[in-house]
Amino acid sequence: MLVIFLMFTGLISRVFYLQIVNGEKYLDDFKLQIQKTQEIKATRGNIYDRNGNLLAYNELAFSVTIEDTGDFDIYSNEKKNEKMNKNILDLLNILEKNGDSTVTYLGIILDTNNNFAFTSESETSRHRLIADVYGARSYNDLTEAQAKSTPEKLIEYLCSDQRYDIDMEELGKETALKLVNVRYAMSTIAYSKYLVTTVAKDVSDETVAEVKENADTLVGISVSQETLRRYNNSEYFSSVIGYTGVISTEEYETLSEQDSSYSRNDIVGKAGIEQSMDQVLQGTKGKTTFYVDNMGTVLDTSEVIDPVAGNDLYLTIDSDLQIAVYKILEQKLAGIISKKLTDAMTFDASETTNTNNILIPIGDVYTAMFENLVLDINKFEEAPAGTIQAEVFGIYEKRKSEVISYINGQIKKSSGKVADQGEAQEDYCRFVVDNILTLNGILDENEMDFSDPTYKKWEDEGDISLHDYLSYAISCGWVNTSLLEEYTDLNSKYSDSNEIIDAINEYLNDELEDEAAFDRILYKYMVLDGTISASKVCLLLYEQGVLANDQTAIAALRDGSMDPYSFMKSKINSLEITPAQLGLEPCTASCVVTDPNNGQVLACVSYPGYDANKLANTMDTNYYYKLVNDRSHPLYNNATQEKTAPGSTYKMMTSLAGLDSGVIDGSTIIDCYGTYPKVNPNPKCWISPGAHGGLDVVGALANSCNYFYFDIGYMLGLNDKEEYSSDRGVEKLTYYAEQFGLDQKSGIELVEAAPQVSDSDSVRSAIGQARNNYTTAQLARYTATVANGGTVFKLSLLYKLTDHNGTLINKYSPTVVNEIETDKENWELIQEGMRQMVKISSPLQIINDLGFEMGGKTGTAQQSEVHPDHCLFVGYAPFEDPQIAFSIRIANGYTSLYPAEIGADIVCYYFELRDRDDIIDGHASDVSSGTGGD
Amino acid sequence: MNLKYSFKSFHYYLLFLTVSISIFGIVIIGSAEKSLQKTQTLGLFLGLVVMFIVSVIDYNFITGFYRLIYLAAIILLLLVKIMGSIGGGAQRWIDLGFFRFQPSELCKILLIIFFAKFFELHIDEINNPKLIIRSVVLIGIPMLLILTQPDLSTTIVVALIFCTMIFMAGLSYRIVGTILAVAVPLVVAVVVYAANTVPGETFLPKYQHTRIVAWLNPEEYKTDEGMQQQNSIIAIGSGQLHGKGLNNDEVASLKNGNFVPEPQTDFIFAVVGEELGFVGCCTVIILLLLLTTECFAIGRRAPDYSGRLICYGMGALIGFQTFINVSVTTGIFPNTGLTLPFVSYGLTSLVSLYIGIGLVFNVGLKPQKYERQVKIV
Repeated sequence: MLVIFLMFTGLISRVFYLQIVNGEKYLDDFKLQIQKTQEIKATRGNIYDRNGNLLAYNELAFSVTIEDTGDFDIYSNEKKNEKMNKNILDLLNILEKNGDSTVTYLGIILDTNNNFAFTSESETSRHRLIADVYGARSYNDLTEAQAKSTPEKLIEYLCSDQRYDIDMEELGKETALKLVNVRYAMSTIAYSKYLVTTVAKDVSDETVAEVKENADTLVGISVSQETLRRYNNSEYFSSVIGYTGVISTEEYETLSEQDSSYSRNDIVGKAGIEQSMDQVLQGTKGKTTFYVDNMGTVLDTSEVIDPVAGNDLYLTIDSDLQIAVYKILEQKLAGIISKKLTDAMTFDASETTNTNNILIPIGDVYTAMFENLVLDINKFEEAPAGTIQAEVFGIYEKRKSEVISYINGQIKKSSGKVADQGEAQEDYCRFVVDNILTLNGILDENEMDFSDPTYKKWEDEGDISLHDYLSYAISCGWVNTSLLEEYTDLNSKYSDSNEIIDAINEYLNDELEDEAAFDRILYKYMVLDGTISASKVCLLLYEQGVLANDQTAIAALRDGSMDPYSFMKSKINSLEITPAQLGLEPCTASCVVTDPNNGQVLACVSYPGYDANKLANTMDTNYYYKLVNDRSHPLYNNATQEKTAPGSTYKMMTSLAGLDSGVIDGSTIIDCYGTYPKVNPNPKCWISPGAHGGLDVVGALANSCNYFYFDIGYMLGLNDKEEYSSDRGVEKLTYYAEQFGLDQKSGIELVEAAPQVSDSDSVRSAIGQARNNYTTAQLARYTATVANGGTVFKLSLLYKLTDHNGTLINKYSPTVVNEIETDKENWELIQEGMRQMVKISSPLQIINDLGFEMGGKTGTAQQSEVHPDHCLFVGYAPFEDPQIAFSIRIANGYTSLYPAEIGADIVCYYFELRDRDDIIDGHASDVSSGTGGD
Repeated sequence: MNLKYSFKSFHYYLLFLTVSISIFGIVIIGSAEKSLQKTQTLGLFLGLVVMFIVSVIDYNFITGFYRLIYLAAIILLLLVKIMGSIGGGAQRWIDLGFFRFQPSELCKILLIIFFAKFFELHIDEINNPKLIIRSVVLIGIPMLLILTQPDLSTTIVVALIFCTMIFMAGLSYRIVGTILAVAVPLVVAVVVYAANTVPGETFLPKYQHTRIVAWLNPEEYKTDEGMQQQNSIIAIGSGQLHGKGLNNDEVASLKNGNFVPEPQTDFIFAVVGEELGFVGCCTVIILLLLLTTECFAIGRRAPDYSGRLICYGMGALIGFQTFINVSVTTGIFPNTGLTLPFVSYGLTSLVSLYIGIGLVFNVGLKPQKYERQVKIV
């Protein structure tokens, strides 16, 4: 009895302790435990240009979501899986039928060979994925077999009856993967039932209608509204505005350090202003606070805080000017290509001594259709019989088997040096070594010795056969045989060289089976050797819809009355085939126009642009792939990231250095003899073997006399005892470059490459060569400083900020980085030189003829002997009261006459000196035939 | 048998206690799982009928069949092994179509009857090691059968009932002391051993091991088992003095949020604690304590050993089972599956208990009859 009493007393005291002593704490803790908050996303702010033209905005769209309502919980596991799968499949069918794509959650896709593949390249995220699939806390907790899972294994596991019980055989890989993807997404939030899984975004109206009609049979599936980011005229603005996307882990880590309101599923800016001004555009998130049960189902909502929409940002960009400049650049590039186009299949640039004489063979244009992904070669196979595509595919299959057996032969037997095989054959062999064996790690670069003579023989001279090179690589242990295990019968450790060669051969045959890059080479040579005729290439453009349907042209191409060369040239001239599509030199250009009075950027153009609408929201992965592989690199901002030597555009800088430091004054005359004798080897003025004779600083700028500036570079290097030191000269040049802010980024709110001020060779640095490298934006700021007589502004794209109701929050004011202190006269001399330059420059005669005055300076930067030079033009206008200062660069643009012509067009456009429609007529613009000076 | 009962001598107090607790249970079950309230009410009436029937059949008549009763218990337990249905990883039930019969519940009563008679017959040799061994073997067989269902908690309760009965039958303190001296360190050793090893890699069955470890480290070991107990503690604690009220629709209720799964059975006390607070908990504990002491009180006045032992056995059953159940729900003991007598939902359990209470009534009526006989003489 006593025992019983004691026991019950114990119970009561325990209950007393729990309920009376700690009761409140338990209740509070519990409330916290079941209280959840969910963010309500704020509408992202719009982006406008300075005149209020809408550039980026949000559009309402519908998404289809699924939630686990628990309706199937009453069934046994097997039955539950069956019912859930059926439910999701019904939805997937609707989406498929209406051509709506699904959102990917599981980092596994079907590659072009219909094999499962990880989407992520990074090992950490792959490990994370594997651990997540098996529900392990970390990768290290997995069993060895689990840890080694291939994408195939993961999907098989998820399809097994342990998990989702999906019949992959019956559904096919693609549907099974989509189903697994949705089930996986749902299972990750199984204990947070208040969350829903978005299956598809931005779905068609048909899908919305069908989902609503079948609401009673589609369990837990509903249609919800969301906003999608949209961009107007995206192609012209993409380099400035960028695009948005789901935050990555890295971005989350960086951003959340600055601002704790970021969360892991936010949409953030991925590039451009969207990225740099993300915090301003984001707005303030709202939130709902509610209580949930053990499965996360909402029991009661306790608090709702509405989100505040992001602020609207007005850019300093003048969208009309931005679009005009983009088009002017494109027209000019097309004009250059059209002018340099020659009716030959190939052209050997190494045989010309003057890079201005490099021509573009029409063969490159045809092959570009394949090599630069203008034509989609994957579509050939499915094309109906009787089409050119089907015919070309047949030719390709035949060629492919020939080439593969050729490669097999080359691998198995030593059959002559690779360099003697013929261009195509050498390309095939090198592709196999570089793009397959080395890229996939079969040839292990960590093991390889790049100074090895045999390696050099292969790499540099091609003085060895493929078989011999591979045999040598095997003997040196450069071949990672563990990757070839599948292809060797024996345990590879003891395999002899021939067995490994055989294994490599088998491996290659498998890899080449479906290797788009290899196919592109095959097509290239089929076009070049005439196996696929030029007319057929042209007709393919119509068949694939690259060119708008034109029955007359098609008929003319078919019967041969239209020759493909003229056809292509006309399409290039009409911009139906753009320089960006061709991806030949030149295919890129950039221009930055600023207001020299405040540093505002009026236009910041990088050609080519891209369509940000296809990257934002749900990324179009095919499009992205195309952009990444495009030879014209549309994702690269040529205005802020591309750096080249400034060439002669640097001479205003050197002029100021000379004038301000006193080594010259306005009356100093230097005689140009062509070759500059004071340093070895002797640099030459561009006019050499001619000479400019005596020039003052104004004349030197106008004529871009290198000799004059070599001498300034030299004189800056002299000390009191007239002893020359390059370092001393460089130091002084650097000082003035710093005065112009050329040692710093321009401040533009975009990803920008850091400039490089030359740190060697004072004489050559003085003409903007040596190691000087600047972006177009940096040169634009420098030109603005010359134009306004010494004020260095921070370049800025920000005009004003308003809240979403339009109430002004902030009008951005200019930031002065530096005021260069020098005699006013020095600026006047330099500006006069620029005015004189325009006066005598042939491409700018149109400006002079109109009685308009501006300052300008051309520049050329030689890149190599076999590529056209990079060329530049900087300028400002009007001369007396500058309103714009700009810089233009065409990489591999041949001669600075072309950017000077662009400069003339821009000035004419901006100040309406000519009819704007005449300037932008949608056709390749005329280019002058001269080669110009410098 | 001449059965002329005068209901004057009927223990109304015992009836009052039993029915009060049962009604309390029905009310709580109604709050925990509305749909089961009717069944439990039916169970109460069924229990009362059975109780009255049992209470009017002389227990000496019943104990006369003690060998058969023991055999019946063993057969029932074997039936579970052969045709029992599996639920929650254990084979404890026999599916009768309309309800699931849990033989181990009934067996507790049957074994009380058996040992009451058995010890009565051997009252003089109770301290004889031979008899002790015999009785241990006799209890060992059903215990083993229950243990392997597996149902450790019922096994423990059966063992405690047996210990109480054999002790009350006159087992010397020396032997009791020896047993305790062995058993207590053994239990401690097992717990310590379990705490320092990983479930699944020891001689302990994994589910038991997990429960022990989860009980020791509720925060770290967030298994379902551990969570269930942890949530039960929070539920009881958060009830504070007055509780959140019966049938409440409060958001901050663990029961409403499904945090205590199937609260109508083993964790009914969590619902009591959450909804009726400290007051409700004390009521249940005190009612069950009174019921236990009443069983002992009736036992003390019983005319013979078997009657006394039946009452003590029932008292031990109610007392220990209550103690273990409440200890589990309040986190004193590791999680074991045991019902709270009269309160938890479960027909077998309820009816079995009423059979037991019926026997106690039966014993309680006996002295009156005896006294009357004396008067007559």
